Amino acid sequence: MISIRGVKKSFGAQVVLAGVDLEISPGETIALLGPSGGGKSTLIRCVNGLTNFDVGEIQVGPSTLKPTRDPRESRAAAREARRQVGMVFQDFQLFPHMTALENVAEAPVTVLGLTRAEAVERARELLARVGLEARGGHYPRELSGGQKQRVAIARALAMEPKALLCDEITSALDPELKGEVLSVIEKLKAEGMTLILVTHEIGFARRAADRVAVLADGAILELGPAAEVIERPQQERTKKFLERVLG
Amino acid sequence: MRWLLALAILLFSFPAFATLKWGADAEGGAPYVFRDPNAPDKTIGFEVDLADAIAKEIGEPIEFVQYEYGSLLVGVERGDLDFAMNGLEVTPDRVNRVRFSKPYYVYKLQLVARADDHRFDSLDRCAELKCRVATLGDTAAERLLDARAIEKRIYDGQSEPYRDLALSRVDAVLLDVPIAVYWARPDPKLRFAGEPIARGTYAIAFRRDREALAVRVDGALERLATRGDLRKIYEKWGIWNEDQSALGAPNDVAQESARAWTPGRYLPLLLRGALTTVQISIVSMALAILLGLPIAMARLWGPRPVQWLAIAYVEFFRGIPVLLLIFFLYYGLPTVGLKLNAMTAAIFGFGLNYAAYEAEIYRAGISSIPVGQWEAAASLGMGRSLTFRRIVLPQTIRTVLPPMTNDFVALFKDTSLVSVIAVVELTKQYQILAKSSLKYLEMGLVTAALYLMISIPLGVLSRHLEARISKGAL
Repeated sequence: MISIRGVKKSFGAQVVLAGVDLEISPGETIALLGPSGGGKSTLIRCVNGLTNFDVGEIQVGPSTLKPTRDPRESRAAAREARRQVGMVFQDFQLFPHMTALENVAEAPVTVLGLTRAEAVERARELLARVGLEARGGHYPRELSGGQKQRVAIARALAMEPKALLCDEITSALDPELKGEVLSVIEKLKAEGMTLILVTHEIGFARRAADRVAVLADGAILELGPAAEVIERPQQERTKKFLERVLG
Repeated sequence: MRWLLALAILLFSFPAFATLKWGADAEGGAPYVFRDPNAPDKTIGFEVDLADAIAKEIGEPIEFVQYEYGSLLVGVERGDLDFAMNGLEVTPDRVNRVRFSKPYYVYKLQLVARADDHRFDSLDRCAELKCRVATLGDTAAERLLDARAIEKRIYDGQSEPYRDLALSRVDAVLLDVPIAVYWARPDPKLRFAGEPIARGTYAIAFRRDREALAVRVDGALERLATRGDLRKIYEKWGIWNEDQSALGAPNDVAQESARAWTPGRYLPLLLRGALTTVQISIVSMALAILLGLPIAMARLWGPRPVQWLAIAYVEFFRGIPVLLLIFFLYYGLPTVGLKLNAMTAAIFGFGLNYAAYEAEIYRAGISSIPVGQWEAAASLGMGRSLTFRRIVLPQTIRTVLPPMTNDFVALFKDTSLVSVIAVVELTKQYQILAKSSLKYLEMGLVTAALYLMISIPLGVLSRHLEARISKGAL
């Protein structure tokens, strides 16, 4: 489904991705763990073209992202990749001037060309799937953090992506609100969605992810089945990281 | 302490021994009183010669004081001036307010038309043709036009009516013969239409309690008339005619009745001024808002040269006074063949000027939208222009609405500047009415109330919109 090959990326002198290879199969859930600044977020931003990379290649379904100097070419490639993958952000980024329903229905109308009625119908179904059928008429500022993040997930799903990129989607939430978002993710996994999760929730990664990749200093330190990596890490740095996170 | 008091007394009593202060308006005041084109620090004119002659006769020096024409009688009444002599027509309204001297000039009104326009040779024919006639405010000519219900256009200066006549912005000019002689006769594009009409007299205005001075000046005028000195002065300026032989007779009070300034009379005029103010404000602001957005977008995202153009636009129009811009658009552009009418010039002046401010407000508003909003839209497959239209612009509008409403209220008040191109809006109408009625306070309060009736609801509307938007409901 997604294949990342030899991706390197630097911001000036600072190397963020030092050559990353990763294969993700359809229906797989993979969790990216690792210390802050390790390159996790940059990696998934590369997958849907929000960030350009310097070297390597990323295959997303049938489309290929490559480093290019031509902004028009890179925009076209990014647009194709985004048809395959949706993204959910740490800070929600709902559109504040639209209701929850309008947030979800916006792109199906303006990008996919659905009629208003079709898009609203689809939006209602998706809000029901994330447990928010009663909140469609509310503006983002009238929703709790957990509700906002669930609307954001519904909004990404409205484009019918084959994979979903989740960038620390519970980091901005109070602990008691994390559960409602994580259970939506688990439901998606059960329905066969391909998921790439950047997360600090080790317990959740252990439970929900098929595989875990640990990124540090822009490289994959360890990669394997979730239980194996989390319970029996091979690398010294992975152990230290897990000890620190798990306290 | 005592010497300080003595000094103070000396200083305050000094003006009593000083020269007589003669008030007149030298701004565009030819041939009465005006700046010598060859030596602009010198004031010349037939009234300057007359003042010199009077000073010699009464043995007291007379000093010229620059005073706005429309406020001359107020200056006399306040005591700023010892007398006013500036082509003041003797009218019933004025006779009630000040002590007039004997007449020093018999004027008539001259209708002037374009040389190639032979449709009319009289004011009556002019009225039938529904001509638009230019004149100065608060003059016998204006009142004559009012009495015949002829559409008029009021100017501040004496040269502008003739310039606009030559540019076909008006059909005729009706003004006193001396003005027509000086400004229109040398101009080959203009012609005198018919004989002069509506005879009246100019006289010097004193405060009523300055009877002693007035009597001495009357004596001086009489001696100047009988000795032929007046004739010499008027011949020098080309304004002597047979009418002047009547000088020495008492004043002709113009044949018109005193006006009663009831609210019923002046309120409709103020309301019409307010309507003009509102029209200019709304259309200019619409223009500024429409023009400001592409300028802001050009500055944010345009290629380098386009960005420079946008920056140049903003800096240029923010950096020059809007008054200058309006004056330039109206009086300057006809030189290169672009003839805007007064309303259009006013609207473009304010529109172009305010577009610079609105562009900066848009730019700040657009920049304040988090980059995450662009990324969220991009991750949904929305392109840049779609994202701008659907996501960024609606949020920008909510942030720019309060500062733009502020600007609108400021523009609304700035419109008072358009009186320089003879648009009579609310403030100008107030000035005209207050000067001729002396009801500065009463009409001032009414005018202020009219402004507030518009600006306060605007403020309320802006706060209401702000509240609705911040609830996410707009």
